[in-house]
Amino acid sequence: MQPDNPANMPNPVANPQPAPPLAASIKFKVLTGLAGLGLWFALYWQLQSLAGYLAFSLLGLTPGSRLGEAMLFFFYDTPKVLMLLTLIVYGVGVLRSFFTPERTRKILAGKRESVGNVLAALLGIVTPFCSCSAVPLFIGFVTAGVPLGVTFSFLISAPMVNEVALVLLYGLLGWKVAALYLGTGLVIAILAGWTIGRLGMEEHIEDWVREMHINASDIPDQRLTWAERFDHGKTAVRDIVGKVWIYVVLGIAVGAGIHGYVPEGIMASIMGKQWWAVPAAVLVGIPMYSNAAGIVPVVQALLGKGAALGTVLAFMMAVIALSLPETIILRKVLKPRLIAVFLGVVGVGIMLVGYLFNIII
Amino acid sequence: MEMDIDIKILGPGCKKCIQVAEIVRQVIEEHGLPAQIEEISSVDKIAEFGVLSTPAVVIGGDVKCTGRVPEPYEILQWLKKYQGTPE
Repeated sequence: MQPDNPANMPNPVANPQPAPPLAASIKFKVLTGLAGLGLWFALYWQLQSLAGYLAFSLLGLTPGSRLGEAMLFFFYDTPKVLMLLTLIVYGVGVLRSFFTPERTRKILAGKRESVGNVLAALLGIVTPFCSCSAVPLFIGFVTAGVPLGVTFSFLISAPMVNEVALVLLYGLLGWKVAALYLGTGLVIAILAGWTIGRLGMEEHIEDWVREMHINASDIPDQRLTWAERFDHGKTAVRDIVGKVWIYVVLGIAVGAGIHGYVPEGIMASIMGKQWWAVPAAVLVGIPMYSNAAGIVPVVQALLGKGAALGTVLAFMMAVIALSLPETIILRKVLKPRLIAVFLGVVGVGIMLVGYLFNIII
Repeated sequence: MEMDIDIKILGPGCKKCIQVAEIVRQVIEEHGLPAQIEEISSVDKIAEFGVLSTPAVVIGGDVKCTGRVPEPYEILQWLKKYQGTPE
């Protein structure tokens, strides 16, 4: 028996473009989408007064009291962040249907190093990426001729600069901190990748990877209709918001507790501007495995209690970008020295960012 | 005699990969299609297919989709197309 005998295949370039049996017309989708967007804005502008009503009228808490302020904070920030998250994740989901990893590889394969590092870091934001497929992606990039340093720029930027982190930073700390995070995250990805490229560590990729020969143009480009792209957005909301909402709620609840009950200035002594605070934050952050949804609300509360912005940024970046599970996964394709260099270069980059913001702010 | 359709599901074992395997099994059972399902979780084998993101579905040696959980109707269409039966 020959299971992969293609003789009985009528069309070898099978690339079906099926219309779902119950497909709503695109017009209908756009109309419901616009109606939903209108409803979203109407509700979003009412959140402040709704939260006040819930905390003070319905629960009868006293404005200005510890519990009252903590509950107000919780009732306002939780729906705000979840609503922002839903909207942005939907938008990014639709956007990402244009950027498959295959297309990103095609763009990066022919590029020179410096330009390639910048492009890779930027594409890391919009290309769908899950750390569980970091290894096939790494192999696919390197064997298709994407330089090692450029591949690393992508692998650093993709988890670090993500829409969930940016939305939470924007929602809880304002656009300036979100922009700082985006900007410095990209710079770290670009420079760390470039540095790894300069070090010429190609022989520290596991031998079996370098011996692999893969046909890079195997998979036909999937052409999607707009209806399918909207469905991608919906799936992204179901997957991402469905997964992180509980962390958002828990994170904000912990944050609200810190807000109401932890004395002012207490964090200044451990997460302040001391010279050792930044490296300590990075070292503590690496083995911690949390997603942005859980860490940002806590970080926001810490800032309110006297922690320094640079120290906090460094801590957050180390938690999100340098996760132990991903490092262990990558060990399958990288020899220990390259793993160490990867952790070292990114860690130093994060520390520099921390010191920089502790000095200028 | 009908030949079994060779289906490979590529994924290191994350939640989505398991989901895909379940959906594929359901479709096959529901429509009584003759098929062999093989789940491939070793990353070097996955990479050999030229797949960059998992889960991926391979039918008769052709990569059909990557990086997402396909809908049952899509899987059915791929299988029917492979068998050469009109939909």
